[in-house]
Amino acid sequence: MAERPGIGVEIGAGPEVLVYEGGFEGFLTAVFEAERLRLEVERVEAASRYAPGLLDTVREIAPDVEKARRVMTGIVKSGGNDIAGMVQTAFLSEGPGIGTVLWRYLHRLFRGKDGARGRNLLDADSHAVFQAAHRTRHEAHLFQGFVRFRRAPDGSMFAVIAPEHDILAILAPHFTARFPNHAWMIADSRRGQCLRYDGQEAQMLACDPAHLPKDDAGAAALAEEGDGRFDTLWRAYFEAVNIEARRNPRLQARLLPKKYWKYLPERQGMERIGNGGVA
Amino acid sequence: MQKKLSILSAAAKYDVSCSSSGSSRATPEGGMGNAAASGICHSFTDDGRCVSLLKVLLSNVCIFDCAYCANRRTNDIPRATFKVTELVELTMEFYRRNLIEGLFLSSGVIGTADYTMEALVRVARSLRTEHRFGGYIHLKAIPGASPELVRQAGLYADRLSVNIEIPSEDSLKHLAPEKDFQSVFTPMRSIRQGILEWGEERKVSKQAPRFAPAGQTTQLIVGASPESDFQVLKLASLLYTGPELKRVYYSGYIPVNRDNRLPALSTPPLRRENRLYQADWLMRFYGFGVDEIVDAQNPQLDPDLDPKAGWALRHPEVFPVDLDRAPYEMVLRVPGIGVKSAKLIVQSRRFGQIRFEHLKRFGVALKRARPFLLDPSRHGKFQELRPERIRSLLLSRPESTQLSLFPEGVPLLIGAHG
Repeated sequence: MAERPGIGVEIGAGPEVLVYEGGFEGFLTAVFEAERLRLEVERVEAASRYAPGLLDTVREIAPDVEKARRVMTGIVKSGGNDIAGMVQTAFLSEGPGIGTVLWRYLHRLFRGKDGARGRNLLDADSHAVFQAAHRTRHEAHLFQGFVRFRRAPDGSMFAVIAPEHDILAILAPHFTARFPNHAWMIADSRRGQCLRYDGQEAQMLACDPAHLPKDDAGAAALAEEGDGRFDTLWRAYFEAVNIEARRNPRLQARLLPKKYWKYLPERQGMERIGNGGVA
Repeated sequence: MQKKLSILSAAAKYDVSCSSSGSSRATPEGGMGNAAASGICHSFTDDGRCVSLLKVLLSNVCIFDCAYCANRRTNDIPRATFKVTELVELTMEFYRRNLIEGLFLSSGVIGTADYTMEALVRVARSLRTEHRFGGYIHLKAIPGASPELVRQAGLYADRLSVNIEIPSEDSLKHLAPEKDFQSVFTPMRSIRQGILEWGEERKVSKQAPRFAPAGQTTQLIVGASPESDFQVLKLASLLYTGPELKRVYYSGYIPVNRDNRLPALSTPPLRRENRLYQADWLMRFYGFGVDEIVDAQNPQLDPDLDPKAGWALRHPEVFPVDLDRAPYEMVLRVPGIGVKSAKLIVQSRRFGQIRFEHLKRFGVALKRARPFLLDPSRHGKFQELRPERIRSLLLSRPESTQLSLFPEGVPLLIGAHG
C-alpha cells in the first residue's frame, strides 16, 4: 500500500482515508495529524482491517508515542478522565467504522462547540461512542465469568477465549486481583494476544493464533492429566442443577450466546442441539 | 464424588437464589479469590438460569417432612452427605478454574438444627481461615438454629438466608408440620441484629470484621398454597422495609411430590412468577409502593400485562409525560422506559429536546412508550389517553412472553418490557 505521489499530501486535496498502524497509539497519532494539518477526513481505518477502495485517497500514519500522548492529554483536558476512558474502551470495540466515529467525536470535543464536554448523547456520534464503549465493557463483564482455566503440566493455569471485542486489557485487573498468588495466562485466539501473569505482574504478549487451541477439546488436550477430573465434576454439576420443567433453550442462548460456546467445557459441541425455540 | 455432587446439587436446585452480588472483599494475603460487587454469571443452565455459585446441600438427609420439598424424610430417594474436606476441595478447585464465584451451602436438617448449622459454619471457617479463600460464601441459616451459631456464620459468609417458602403461616404449618413463622423469623432477626451491631463496630474501627456484607435474602414458593399476589407482595414489601432484606426470590411451584395437600399442576406457574419479579423490580428500583401494584380489590396481577403498564392504564390522569421536563421518578413510570434509558433521558435533556429518534437509540420500547408521551411534533396538542384502546398495544406479544428470571449482573429485561 504505497502512498500515491501527489495525492493526499497537499492541504485541501479532498477527503482522505487515514490508515494507521499500531493500535490505539496509532489511532491517536492519526487524530493528531488530522488536527495539525486540518485535514479533510473521510475515514479513519486500522491498517490491519483496511480494505483498499478504488477511489480512496490514502494517507498512512505510523504510530508516534509523543503525538499520541499529546492527543490523550487533550482529551483529558477537554472531556475529563471518564471521557478519555470511554474513548479508549470504544476503540477496543474494534467495531466497523469506529475509527471514523471516534475521529468525528474527538474533532467536535476539541472544538468545544456545544459546551457538552463530550457528554451530549443526543448527538449521534457521541451516542455511538458511548454504545461502543458500553458493549465492550459488557463483554468484558461477561468474560469475567466465561473464562475457563485449566491446569497446565507446569502447574500454572491457562485459558483460551475468542471475544468479539479486544477485552484482554480490561480483564487484566480483575483476574490479577482475584488470582494474585499463582501464575496464569489468558489467550485471545482471535487476535493472537496473550495476557500473562507470573505471580508478580501481568504482561501482554503476542501469541501465534495457529498454535492456540481452536476449542475446549483442544485446550483440554494441553492440560495436565488430573485436570480432567474437575472437568467431569463440573459437567455433572451443570447437568444436575438444570430443572427440566423450566427448560428454555432460547433464553439460555440469549444469556449465553452460542458464539462463546466453543471454549466452554459444559457447552462445547452443543451448538447444534436445541437450536433456539425448540423446547 | 461425582455421584455425591450430582445428588446434592440436584437436591439444592429448587433454591432460586444464585446471586453473587452485593459484597466486595479483597483477596486475603497469600490466598485466592475476592467478591465482585456486581455479581458474575459463569454459565447458564438449559433452563436459562445463571450459574454463579457452587450451590449444593451439605446433606439431603432431613428430619423434616415438608410437603413441597424433594428431600423430605418420607421420600425414598438416594441420600448423601459431603465431608467438609470434599466440599472445600470442590470449592477451591472450581474457583481456581473460574467456574464459580464461590459457594452457596444449604442442608437438610441432620439430627438437630444446631448440629446442621455448626457443620455449615465449619465448611465456611475452613475455607476462610485454613485456605484463605476470599470468594463469595452464601450460607443458609437453618430454621431453629441458635443465635450464636447464626452469628458465627455471619462472620464468615457474605450473605445469609432463611427461606420462608410458604407465604402465610397457616399454609406453612399445613404443609410443613415442623415449621412455623417463628422458626423462620427468629434466625432472620439474629441476622438483622448481627448486621446492625457489626455495622456499629465498623463505624468505630475499620478493622472490625464484616457481618454478612451482602445482607440476607429469602425465598417464597408461589402456587403451592392459595395466597394471592397481593399477600405475596405485601409480605415481600414488609421484608424489604422491616428486616431490610436484600432480595426476596419467588419460585414457581414445581410438583416434586405426590401429596394431596398440594395442587396438581402440569407446568410450573412461570408466567405468574415472572409478573411477581416484575412487580418486585417496581418496588425496588422504580419507586412503586406495593399498594400501587396490587391491593385488596385487585389482589392478582394481570397475567397478560406487565404490572407497570397495568398501573399506567389505571392512571390516565398523570399522562402524557413531558420527557423534557418531568422529574426522573415520573420518567421511570412510563411503560417501555427502564432505569437505564430513564437515566440517559434525564442526563441528556439539558443539551436539547428529546426526540423519538433519541429514545429509540436509548433503548426505549417506543411502541409501548409512545401513547404515554407528550409528542413534541404535535406542538403541545395532547392526545387523549384512552386506556381501553392502548391496552391491546401493550399486551404481551407471543415473542415477548419469553420468561426470564432476571439474573443479577445482566442488564434486565424489565426495562425492555416496560
